[in-house]
Amino acid sequence: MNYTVKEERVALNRPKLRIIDPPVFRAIIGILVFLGLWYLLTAVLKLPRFKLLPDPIAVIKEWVSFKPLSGRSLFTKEYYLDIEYSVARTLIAFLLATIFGVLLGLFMGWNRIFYDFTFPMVEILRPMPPLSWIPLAVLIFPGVEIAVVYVTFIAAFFATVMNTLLGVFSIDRNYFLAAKCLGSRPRDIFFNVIVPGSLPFIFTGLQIAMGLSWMSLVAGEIIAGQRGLGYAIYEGSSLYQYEQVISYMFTLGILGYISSAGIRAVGRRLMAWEARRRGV
Amino acid sequence: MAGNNGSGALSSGNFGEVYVEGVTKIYEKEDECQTVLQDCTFHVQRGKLTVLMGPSGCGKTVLINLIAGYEKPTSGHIYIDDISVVGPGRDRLVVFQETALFPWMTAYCNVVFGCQVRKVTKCEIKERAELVLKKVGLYEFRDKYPSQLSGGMQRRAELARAIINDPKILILDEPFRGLDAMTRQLMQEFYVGLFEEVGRTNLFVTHEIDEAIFLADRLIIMTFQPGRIKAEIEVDLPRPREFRMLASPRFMEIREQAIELLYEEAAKAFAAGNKTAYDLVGAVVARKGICKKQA
Repeated sequence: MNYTVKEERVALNRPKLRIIDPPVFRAIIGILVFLGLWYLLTAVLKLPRFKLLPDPIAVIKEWVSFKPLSGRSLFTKEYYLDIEYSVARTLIAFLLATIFGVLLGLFMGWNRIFYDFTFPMVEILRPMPPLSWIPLAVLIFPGVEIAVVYVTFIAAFFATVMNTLLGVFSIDRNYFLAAKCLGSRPRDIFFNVIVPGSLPFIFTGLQIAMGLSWMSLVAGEIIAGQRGLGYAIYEGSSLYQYEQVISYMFTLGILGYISSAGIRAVGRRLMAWEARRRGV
Repeated sequence: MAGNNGSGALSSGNFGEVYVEGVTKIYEKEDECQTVLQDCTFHVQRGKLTVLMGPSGCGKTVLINLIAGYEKPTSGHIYIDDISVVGPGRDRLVVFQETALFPWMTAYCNVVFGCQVRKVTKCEIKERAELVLKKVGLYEFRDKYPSQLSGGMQRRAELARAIINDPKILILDEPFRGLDAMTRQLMQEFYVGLFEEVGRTNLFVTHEIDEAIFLADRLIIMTFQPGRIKAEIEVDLPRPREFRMLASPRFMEIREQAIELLYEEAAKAFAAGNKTAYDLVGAVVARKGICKKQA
């Protein structure tokens, strides 16, 4: 029995006709199907509400054009400046949210008294939509720039706090007892139990926070921004440059994808034990 | 057993004894008082393996938490060598029901954790860790994470994490629960061998009759709700213990005696819908039959 299984495996391995990985292949198919449907709806069927939309070919043409109508394409300096502004704002906001959010969450989970002091206020501030902060942010901070970063920060911050807190609460009580029993001081417990024990939840939270940052960044840029991807989308829409609007939406999508993948990669590196548990 | 010369490296031979005197524990929940433990008095002898038995829900784990210092008794006292217990201490190490190895640390880091937080010198840590890991047969697996170890290996790692600190008293709260029958038997054999070599004061909690008698020097049987000490049985089976003894007449005699004592409590727990009680009642029903774990 074993023998035949071995034979089969050898036979499967030998021809190596596969040029790309099946998952990559399937991903490409998925994207092509999406583009095909889009093309079908906008260029071939021209359904009532869809015929105003640019088809994918027009979008791609504009995206890679040397002389784009909107003045923004892969081959213009403008495009990269927009990306630079947005990425810089998101990164700063996200890093600040991570530092303060994780610290606040860990302390809230660690110290019951601190938790009692802070939790009600966090719960009141948390559901406030980030955009509702804009008037105050513009009032408090000098210049629009910091206000936009603040709005982005606020969105990511509370997601990080909540997930970190849940992370601490998710740690099995026995780990605390075991650590205490083995002679740990509170400091040892913090660094050896609370921090590593909540990492899986923290990283889930960071991925959510990253998504929320991008969302509120673009909203903030549309309302109060100068430069940046969100601002350019707003401008494109007022100039009826829908090809550019869509190409920028996809740019945002790709940036979001890359940032999430980055967070996952860091998480995997920090949580070798967790990956092994899941058998990845 | 106790004071074996060959065990000098694993232990300094400084063992303790536990006196539990008139301990009562009452939990208050919304005007409702539940007496979990009532007037428990017993003695865990120095260098002996004492097994605490009773149906699940009789307050064994609460008693362990009191001795470990995680909780305080409502009344009564617990002494370790004449010193009253006020909080957790390194002289009493607990091996928990389900594994409490830190999943984010390798086997090695888990085992040396206690030494590290006590700031033992690196050199000494390494030396002791090597000795203990070899003793429990995990030296080759020291860089694996707990999730990469089998159930039996995890329990051995946990034993190693406790004994590396050379506690005066080792407390084991159903440490082999959840292991399959074969692994469980191997662990019992391994554990009893380890005990017989070092001879530390051990307090072992279980609800399995065969396991209890096989391991124990002395058996303490508890009642079900409220938990009281029902009886103490001296287990005079010779050491070293071997699995053949499970079929010996003396073993059966002690088993019969223990079952007689436990029957009433098991029935009470059974009536209260306690799951583990089913096992005990099953054992009672089968008491005239053959012992299941014949070697």
